[in-house]
Amino acid sequence: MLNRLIKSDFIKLRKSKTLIVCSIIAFCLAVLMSLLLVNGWNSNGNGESIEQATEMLLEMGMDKETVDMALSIMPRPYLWSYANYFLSDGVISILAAICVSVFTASEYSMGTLKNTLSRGFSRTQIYLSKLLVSCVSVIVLAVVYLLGGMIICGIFLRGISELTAVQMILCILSYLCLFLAITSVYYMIAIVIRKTGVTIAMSLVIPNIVASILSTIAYSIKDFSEISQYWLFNTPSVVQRMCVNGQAYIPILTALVYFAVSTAAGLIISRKQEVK
Amino acid sequence: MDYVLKTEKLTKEYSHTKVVDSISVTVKQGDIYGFVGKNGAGKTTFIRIVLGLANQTEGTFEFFGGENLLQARKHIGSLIESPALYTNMTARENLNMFCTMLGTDKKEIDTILETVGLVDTGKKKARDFSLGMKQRLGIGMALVGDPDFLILDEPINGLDPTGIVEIRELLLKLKNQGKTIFISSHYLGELEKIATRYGIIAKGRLVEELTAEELSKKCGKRTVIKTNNAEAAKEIVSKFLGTDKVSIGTDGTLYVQDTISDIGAVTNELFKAGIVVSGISDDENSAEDYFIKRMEEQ
Repeated sequence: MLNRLIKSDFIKLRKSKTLIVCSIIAFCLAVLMSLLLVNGWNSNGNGESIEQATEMLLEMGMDKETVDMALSIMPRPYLWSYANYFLSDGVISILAAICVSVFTASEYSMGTLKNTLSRGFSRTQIYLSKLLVSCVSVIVLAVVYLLGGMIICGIFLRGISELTAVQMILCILSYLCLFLAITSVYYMIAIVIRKTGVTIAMSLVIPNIVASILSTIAYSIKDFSEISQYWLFNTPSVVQRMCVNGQAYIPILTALVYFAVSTAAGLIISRKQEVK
Repeated sequence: MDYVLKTEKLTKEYSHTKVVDSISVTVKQGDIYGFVGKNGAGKTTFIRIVLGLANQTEGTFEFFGGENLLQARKHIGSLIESPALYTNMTARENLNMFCTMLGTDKKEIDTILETVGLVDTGKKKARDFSLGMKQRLGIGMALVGDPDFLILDEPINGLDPTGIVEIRELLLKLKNQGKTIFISSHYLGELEKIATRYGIIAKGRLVEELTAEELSKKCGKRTVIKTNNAEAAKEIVSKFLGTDKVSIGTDGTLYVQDTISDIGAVTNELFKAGIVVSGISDDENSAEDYFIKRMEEQ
């Protein structure tokens, strides 16, 4: 029964064209950003600027760890470095918010969910089916975004990665877990709000508001200086650093906790909700 | 199994207000059950509860002699309020998607499209359909999977006169195929043409449950007598005419089913007993009048 539900949800996703539109936007954005990156990279001496910047900042008295962290967002001329840049820049998260909100909340706002519920499908089956389809759509978005970036950047690359194969696999696994967790949180927001437009707006606003609050706390209270990295929407930006430092379990565990909590909360909410 | 739906004191409360108040109904197999009530009487809430879209505050319900609810709902087709369609899809795509979800044979799509008169819609998306076409597609979606029981909430809303006749014929055809239909509608005249059993609901409560035969006995031509003592007059008139079809309205008016041929003799009899007759006349009580009267009595 769940199989049939998933199949019909994929039909709905395909027919709604949301994923296609978001994928096109993702691809175009990736191409545009990679053009800007390559342009900047070429004008700064093919990546030598990173070494120069490191030296300059060290001479200014900054410690090595801070300098590395500050410059970690600048991609090196390696395949993985660019992939990491694209995966952590937050664009996928924004597009996922739109895609998941339109796909899930529209079922509530258009009232089509009652067709499924009144035909003997349980709320748990319906929830899990839509969650799975949403997760697949976000992974598709991430792959398209990555491919769009690699088309341009790939021409100018010097190698695969500075990282070891294990570190790279851990990074990929971490991103995968984080994207699935982000999808689950967006889906839960959609279940609570149930209006497409408001869901999109809240999905885009809430992560930023919480991130700002956490940053303020981290800035003011020394003991909480690392708190913001546990906020799901900030975690992607520290994935590579953690994987390199042997702390890959942090982003993976963070993602799993968010995924489990948001799915459980979403299931409880959906069971109690009345469907109009 | 002699019933398709049975509810026992079904109640739904929203902020201490009972929208559905202890409703107990039984829909027997093969019935066309007309659920009659004003706007806001609780008809749709009742339907939403039995279809699992809302939870009841109190009471129980069961389908097909106590089958598991989720299993039972697989054999139920429904149309609740306005039809919920995927507006970016055509009529065929909507039905196709529904067939995929229910795992039914897609060959039935053509039959359903023909049944609801949407064969010629081609590539037209559901968002461009007229209200009547949307309603037809909604009924079509309820028919997917050849369900044994249909629950239709206002199915003829928005249909033109021809469409109403077509849907009426379709419902009668489905009844002849052995399907049970629960239908709520404001179109009392239409319901009267097809329903075999009625439930009258007002302010969340079931006012009366009656068969089509019982309804016809309560309707038709009648004589209205206004007196100063309704109870005594009822006894005298019943005895004089040798009938039990005499009733007293809420305002103390006496109603005699079927017209009295000799009004003078009845008036004379009442006069002899010292009862003052202030008015006597014939009128016609349609099913619609009866429903409205019962609803307003609450």
